[in-house]
Amino acid sequence: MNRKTAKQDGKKKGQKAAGEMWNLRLYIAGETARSIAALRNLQKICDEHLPGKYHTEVIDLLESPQLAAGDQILAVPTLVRMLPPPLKKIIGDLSNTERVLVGLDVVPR
Amino acid sequence: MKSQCGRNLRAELEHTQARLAELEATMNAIYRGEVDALAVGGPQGSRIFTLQNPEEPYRILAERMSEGVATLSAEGTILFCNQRLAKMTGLPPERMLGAPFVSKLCEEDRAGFPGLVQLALQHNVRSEGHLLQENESVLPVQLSLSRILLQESGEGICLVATDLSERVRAEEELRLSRERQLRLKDELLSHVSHELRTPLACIHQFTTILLDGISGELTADQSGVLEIILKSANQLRTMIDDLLETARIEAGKVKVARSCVVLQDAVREAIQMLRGTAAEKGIDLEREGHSELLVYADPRRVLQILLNLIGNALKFTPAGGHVEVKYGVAPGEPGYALVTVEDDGCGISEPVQARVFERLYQEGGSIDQGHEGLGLGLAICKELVSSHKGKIWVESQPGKGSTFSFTLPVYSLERILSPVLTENGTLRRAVSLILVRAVPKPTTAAIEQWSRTRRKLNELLCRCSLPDKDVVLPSVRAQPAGETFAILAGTDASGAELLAQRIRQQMKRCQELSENCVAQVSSQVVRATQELETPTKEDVEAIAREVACAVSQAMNMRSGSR
Repeated sequence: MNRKTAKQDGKKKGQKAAGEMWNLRLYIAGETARSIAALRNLQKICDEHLPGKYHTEVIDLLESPQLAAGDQILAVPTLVRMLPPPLKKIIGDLSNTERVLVGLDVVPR
Repeated sequence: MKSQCGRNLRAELEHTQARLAELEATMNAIYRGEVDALAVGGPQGSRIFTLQNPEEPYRILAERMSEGVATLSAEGTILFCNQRLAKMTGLPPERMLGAPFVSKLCEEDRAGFPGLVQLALQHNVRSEGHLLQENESVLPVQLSLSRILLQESGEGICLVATDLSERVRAEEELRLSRERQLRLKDELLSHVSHELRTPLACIHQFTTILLDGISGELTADQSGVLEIILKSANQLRTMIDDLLETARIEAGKVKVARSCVVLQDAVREAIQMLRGTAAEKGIDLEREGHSELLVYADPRRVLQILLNLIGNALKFTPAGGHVEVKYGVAPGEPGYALVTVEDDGCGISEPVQARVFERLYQEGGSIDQGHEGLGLGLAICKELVSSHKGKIWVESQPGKGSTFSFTLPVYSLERILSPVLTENGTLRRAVSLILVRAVPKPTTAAIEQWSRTRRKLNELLCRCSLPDKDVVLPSVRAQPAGETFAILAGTDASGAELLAQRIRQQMKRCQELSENCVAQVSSQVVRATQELETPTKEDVEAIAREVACAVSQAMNMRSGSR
């Protein structure tokens, strides 16, 4: 298993420039103010910094609360980077673009 | 399997750290008001709480999390604390409220806490500490302090306490498993070295038989080849001995049996053993020093150190060079003897000087340069010298030569008496002297042979004496009439007589001793005390002087009276 991770890490570096896909999952809770803000901020960040190479999935925990357990979500909204590995979480409404980009490793720390 | 265990523990640690980081991020997001819903896991699955009031998620989170949480006033008084923190201290939550948080910390951590609070009012701080628990035990915790605004009374502190006992345990286990692995490695090393020696001894033996012509005449060529085999076998044996020695040192198995050593004798012996090598290379090997100087050390170890250093000097000095061993009282350190081994060989550059005492270090991988050895010799020397409480160092100028120096404590009777005189701070009931007066038999005329015999006798006495209770004293010579050896023992008359009997028996059993000397073993009490006393340091010193005086009188009288 360790080997697999290492391999993918290597791939990650190689592929970033070549336009790797970013698979992001946003957990929200209905239409609370922060959930709406998070949706809007995510859209904006992806369009500006990951144009054409992202895929987002929005999970409304009010509709399907059982999904919170899978990614061990505690606070909402939370953004989860599914791909590229490793899995990363950014908690909050994504209002601080810089923090999000650093958290997602879109820009180096 | 062991390393698997280590990996699991490490993974556990990393997991805990990741979880901590995530919790911190959650708390920060809540502070910033970026979160307005919480997914709370329960028996019926997750439930979602959406909240308009920003304080709500804080409270739910605080109650649900496995970390201890408290809100403190700027003065450190507990204004709020969650169930978990109360549980960590073993007190009910209501007894926590209103108390100063510092009182929940263990004694050693209290002084630093107000400063931590002051810092936290500027920026987030993190520190490790120990919470007092009900049953007097302490719980290792990580404390995270952050500034918050309290609605009514201005600034306050949010404190998060994370239980570190799991982590401490995991680290401890990691350390233990590492130690186990090291021990296994040492055992393997020691075992393998032993196993390697057996076939090597065989090679050595049969090569010598061939070389001696016992199994038939050899041509010059054949002898030459056998000489090379023999030389290589010897090199290999030295390397294996070094490995074995290192394994022993690592395992803490090297016992230093200290006694009184005439430094000059040790140097003379070492030089004699290496004279052949020196002559072969055409190197001048000399010694010079204080002939009477005694050191308090293990004679075999002293020889080992000398052989190593002189052997090295010979190795790195070209033909026609010069190696000199000097010994005397260390300048500025009257309690120590200084031995230097000086050569005019290739020298050692400064960066290398700093590393020569490291294990397996060899300049420029000198195996290629045809120098034998594993690079363990100097590391072993360093261990041996420091186990004698001495120092070892090197001074060198590249191209001009090197000087290796080491110190050993000078022998003095008073210095070594304290284990004999006292036990756990009280005086022993009695101190006795066992004297062995040995006279060489007429057939043992050669001094050479006598020196072997007396070494044998010394070894025997070391073997018979108890390291924490008895000391083997330096012998007093009265050539040609003989020599008096002695053990000073922390025991009374009957104990001393038992020891004397043991020595008599062992001497009878030793062929070399019974062939070469006539010996008389007797015992006597030097100092007896009626009651156990609790002496001061000065008392012990005074008694040591008194005993030392009595001992030297007894030894001189015995040897002089015949």
